Amino acid sequence: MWLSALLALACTLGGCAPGDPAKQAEAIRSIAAEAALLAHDAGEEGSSTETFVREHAEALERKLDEVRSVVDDQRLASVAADVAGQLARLAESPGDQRAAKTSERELERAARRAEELAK
Amino acid sequence: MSKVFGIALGILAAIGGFVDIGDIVFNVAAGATFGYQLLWAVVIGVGGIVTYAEMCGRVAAVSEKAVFDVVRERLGFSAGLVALCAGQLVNVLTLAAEIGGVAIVLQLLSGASYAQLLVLSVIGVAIVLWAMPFEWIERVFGYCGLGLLVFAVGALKLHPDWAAVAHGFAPSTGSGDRWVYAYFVVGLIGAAMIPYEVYFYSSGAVEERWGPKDLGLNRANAMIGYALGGILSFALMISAGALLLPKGIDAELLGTVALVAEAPLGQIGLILALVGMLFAISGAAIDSTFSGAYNMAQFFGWEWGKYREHAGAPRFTLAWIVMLVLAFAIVVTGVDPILVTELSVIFSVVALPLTYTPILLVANDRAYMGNHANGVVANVFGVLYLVVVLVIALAAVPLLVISNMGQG
Repeated sequence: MWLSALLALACTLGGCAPGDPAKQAEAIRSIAAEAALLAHDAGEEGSSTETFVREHAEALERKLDEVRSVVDDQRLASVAADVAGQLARLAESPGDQRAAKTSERELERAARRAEELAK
Repeated sequence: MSKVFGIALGILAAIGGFVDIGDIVFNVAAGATFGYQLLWAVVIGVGGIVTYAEMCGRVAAVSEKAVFDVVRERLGFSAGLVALCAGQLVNVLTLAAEIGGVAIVLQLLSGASYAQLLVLSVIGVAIVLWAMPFEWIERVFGYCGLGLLVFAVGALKLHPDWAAVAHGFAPSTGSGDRWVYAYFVVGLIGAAMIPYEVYFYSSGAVEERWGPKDLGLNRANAMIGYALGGILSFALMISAGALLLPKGIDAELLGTVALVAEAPLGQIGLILALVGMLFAISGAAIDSTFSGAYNMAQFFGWEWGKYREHAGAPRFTLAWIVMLVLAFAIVVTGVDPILVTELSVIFSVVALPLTYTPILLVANDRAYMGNHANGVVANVFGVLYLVVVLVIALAAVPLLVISNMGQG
């Protein structure tokens, strides 16, 4: 039991991403949906700060990279790439409200595609 | 009047100081995964910390002995040493998580690099520990932690389904993955009852030279302060349940927690949430650093206490410096502070019986406590919670493995 716990621990601390494609799709959907929420606030005057948008978008990008490194499914990889692109845009231009609104729509679309692939 | 004012200030500090990174992580993740279904587990956890904080505060006020004095006396050296090692392991892990959490929140506020902010966080905690008087630490961090009340306002603005919220206060087996649900039950109770809180609370009572005349203050702080502090936990879970669950968002980042306040309240909500988290987490870092040093000093019979000044308690001072260095060594490896938080909470659950059993025994000992020994109500709750603690202590590690740390 303790060995299993330690192995689970080592895997978790090492950043093991989910191996099951459905779980990968769920993880990508979660990141896309959260990024869409972040983009929504970035697109509204006085709803967020540029520092927060940039830093949180970068944190989501790092989390997405962990999942992308184990994704085999081409369709899912394509969705993940789209999400990564939008997150990079948000991180690069956190104060650009028009771009943030475009990103929000793209990210919502990506979240729906990932949700379909998770089924 | 000034006494009432003092009690009110103490209660406010207890409310603001109730939530730490473990509560933040588990409550928001539970809300994002199960909505309001696990509110009852928070009630159980808050009841547990109220019961045992009141008990160990009373023991400290009457006998002038803090938790690890009692552990050493009741369990003996060998078993006491096991309790000490378990308690210290959990303290160091908790401290590592809190320091990492402080650095992340500072990063979200300032945009500076995480590595630099880690160093700054450790130095900041060390300066506060070295220079700030005990009651100032308690009050400043407790009051500023009240910024987390923004989540209560946010929860109202998110218009949750109040019928479902009310339903969440009734214990249930939950829907969805049963193992993940059980893991969150254990994590929520463990986060609320994390042992460093009672180590710090009882040692603080000795530091502030509480006596039998302060038993009313003890009861007010524990029962009203901690119970109202539970509102912050409810607010975090309800906000996450209303905002994150419908969108299918997992809560695995501290930034996600801030987003929960930003979405309904905008920039002001974001800033209040980040400042509240900063003070709540750094206050908990200070408490857990001191707790580690208190435990060592009480167990080995060293001079201890912030009121003695550094030269008067050199081994105590060295102990908290070592705690900080060890925690920094863990978190500087790049390990995710959120994962360390989850592990520290789960391992603390395993250590809970070693802390709470001796407190219950001493609180019942009339030779120690005289007329202030446990009454029927304190004993009923004490025994009930000891059973709860034993059950979750046995279940914690298996659930960690089976539920894949709550990932399913």
